[in-house]
Amino acid sequence: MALLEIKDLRGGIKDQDIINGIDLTVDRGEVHAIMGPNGSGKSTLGKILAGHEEYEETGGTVRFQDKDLFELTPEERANEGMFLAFQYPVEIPGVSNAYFLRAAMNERLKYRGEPEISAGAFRRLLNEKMKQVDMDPELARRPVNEDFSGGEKKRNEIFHMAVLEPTLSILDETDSGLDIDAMRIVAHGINQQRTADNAMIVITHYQRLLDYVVPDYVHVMYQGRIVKSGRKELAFELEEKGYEWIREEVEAAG
Amino acid sequence: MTESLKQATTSRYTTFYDAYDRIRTLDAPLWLHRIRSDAMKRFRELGMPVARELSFPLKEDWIYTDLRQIADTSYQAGPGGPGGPGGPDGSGEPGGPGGPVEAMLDEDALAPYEFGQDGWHRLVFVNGAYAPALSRTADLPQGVVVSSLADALVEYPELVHPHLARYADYEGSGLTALNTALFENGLFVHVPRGGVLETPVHVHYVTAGLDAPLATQPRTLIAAGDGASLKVVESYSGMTDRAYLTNAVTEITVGRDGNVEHYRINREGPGAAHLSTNQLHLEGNGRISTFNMSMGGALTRNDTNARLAGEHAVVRMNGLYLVAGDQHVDNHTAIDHAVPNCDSYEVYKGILEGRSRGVFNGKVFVHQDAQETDAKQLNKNLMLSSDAMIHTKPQLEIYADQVKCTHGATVGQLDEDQIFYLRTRGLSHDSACHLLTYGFAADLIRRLGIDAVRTSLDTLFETTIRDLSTARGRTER
Ligand SMILES: Nc1ncnc2c1ncn2[C@@H]1O[C@H](COP(=O)(O)OP(=O)(O)OP(=O)(O)O)[C@@H](O)[C@H]1O
Ligand SMILES: [Mg+2]
Repeated sequence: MALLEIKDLRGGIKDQDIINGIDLTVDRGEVHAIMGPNGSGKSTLGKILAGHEEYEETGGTVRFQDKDLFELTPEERANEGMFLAFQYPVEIPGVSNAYFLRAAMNERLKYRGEPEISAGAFRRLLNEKMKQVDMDPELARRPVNEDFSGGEKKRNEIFHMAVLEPTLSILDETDSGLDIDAMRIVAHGINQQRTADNAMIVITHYQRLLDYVVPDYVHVMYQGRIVKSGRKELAFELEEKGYEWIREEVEAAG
Repeated sequence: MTESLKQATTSRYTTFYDAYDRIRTLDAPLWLHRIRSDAMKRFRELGMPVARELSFPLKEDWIYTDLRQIADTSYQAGPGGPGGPGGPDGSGEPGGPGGPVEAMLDEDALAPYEFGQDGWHRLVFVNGAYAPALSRTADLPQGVVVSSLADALVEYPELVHPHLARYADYEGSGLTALNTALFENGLFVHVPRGGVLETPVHVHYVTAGLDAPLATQPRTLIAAGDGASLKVVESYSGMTDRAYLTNAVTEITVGRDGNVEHYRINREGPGAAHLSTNQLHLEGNGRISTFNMSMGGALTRNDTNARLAGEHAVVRMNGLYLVAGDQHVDNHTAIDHAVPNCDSYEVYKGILEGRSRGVFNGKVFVHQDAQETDAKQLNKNLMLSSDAMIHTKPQLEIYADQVKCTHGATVGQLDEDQIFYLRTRGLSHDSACHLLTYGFAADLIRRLGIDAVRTSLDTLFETTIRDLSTARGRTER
């Protein structure tokens, strides 16, 4: 059984579908890149998978770890091992990053029927993960994302991911807004978390990230559907030729 | 005035008048009798501020907080009141046979309401009466006085006289007049010029038991001389569900270069009306930081006023109110920049649940001479229920031209995107709401100067909002 199995998924906001029939299967150990022009529905797909209440699925099925995804609340999906790194991470004033991560960690342990993590063990874990993603310890003490720079927010998402060790990560444009060095560091952090047991869906506009985080598959989304899939070479092709030829292909076909 | 209203008003306050008739016969310094007599005269004229009986401009201050029911209640004076067993006439020993209330309170009963550590100075008043068995003031530095106000009036009248009723104006306020005429006891702290009182003082006004509605008039007087510093925690606890009234007045004065940290915590019982006037007076380069946390009581009204009387004085006036159910909380603050080069920083935050009502009115006056004033004021409210309501009105009145003044007010709800973000990291909907509510005001608590107070208020704040969000979950389901 695949880790994630999406079949003919449709959905969007009130009386308007944004996702118009997506099929996608992700196995453990795989990295899938999703590319596509602005407004094609990439973030919407991520939000529907993560369970944002503003978006509604109107058709199709999604199975995650052999469970009906739509039967699960957002927090159950998270505690089952799903993680969405936001394109626009949200600021949480007054709550320190470390305090929040410990709360999240403990919710997950509780969900799995395991005892809470001790303060000491958590501190050690935090230090280890901060090193892994080259995170300034000061940022762990500060309120979640509040007054973080754009790049710091993105890096913080990867930090959360490193701490929570998800089985399926959906990274929504985690590379945009990063400077060249930060991109390398974040990519390194992502790669360190790649194992044979987990999988990633990497949404990006730039082939550059895929130089570091080499995908097994590349998909192109257009008007709410995956219109083309291929290997990592597809990303080079897109980088070179843009999306016009995809549009032409779709229009010719349909 | 209509006929029926007149009827109601003439029968009002008789127990207060009776209490005054007893108090005027007691042994006390002449100057104190004079002040009490003036104050009583003024109270007879003003009465309590009941909005519909007031005219402009006084009415403006009371339109959202209705004291009519309180004015019409016939309150008994406590055992600490005049004629009572623990009162200033000393007709009964508190804790002795005449003071049954103190006997029912012990350390264990106080423990959940404690702040700080064993080493702190502590004065406990139960239903207005001083409870020496529960109080301790050991190892005071040279010249420092920490005692009950009644004792201080006997032992150090010369220290009390220059300050008592000098700052809180009973001419302009019926509630201050009532307290001034009838106050039974309270805390007196005096740190002389250059003195440092390192160990905080905790004054704890407790109301417990009760067969009939009780009114207490706690009076706190804190005087820091030039260059002196001190820290006071003033808390009010209700260990009863019955109706009662606390009408408190606190005066704080700080001399040149002096420094006062003041914390005020209202955990009155669910049937309580808590009315308070807090008057701060700052001389040149003096500093007062005051933090006011209101959680208890059915109705709370705090008037907190600061007068910056000397240049380069700095006042920090912060507050947090947490209300639910049918609670009503009203904070009126006024900061008076009378001279140049003073700073005032004020942040009040409110969390309102259920059908609760909140009022914030913050006035900042910058007089014509008060150039180079830096005044910042902010009121933020988090509405956890669509039935809760807040009236917020920041008011700046600026008559000087070289000033930096900002003010603002916000009213908002928990943000759905923030809730979703937290849920994608595994937090339940309730935990997410709880964490966001905590984060909304955590900065105020994090800034508190005394570790022990910060820790205990942090815990208190967290458990209170946890209860609030549980109640919220129940009503939503
Ligand atoms: N809540 C919403 N209300 C209205 N329109 C929405 C909403 N969410 C998404 N859309 C619309 O759906 C379309 C897809 O948006 P989405 O954010 O998924 O695109 P995207 O592929 O992630 O684009 P980008 O590359 O710019 O991030 C857009 O046209 C967008 O305006
Ligand atoms: Mg997007």
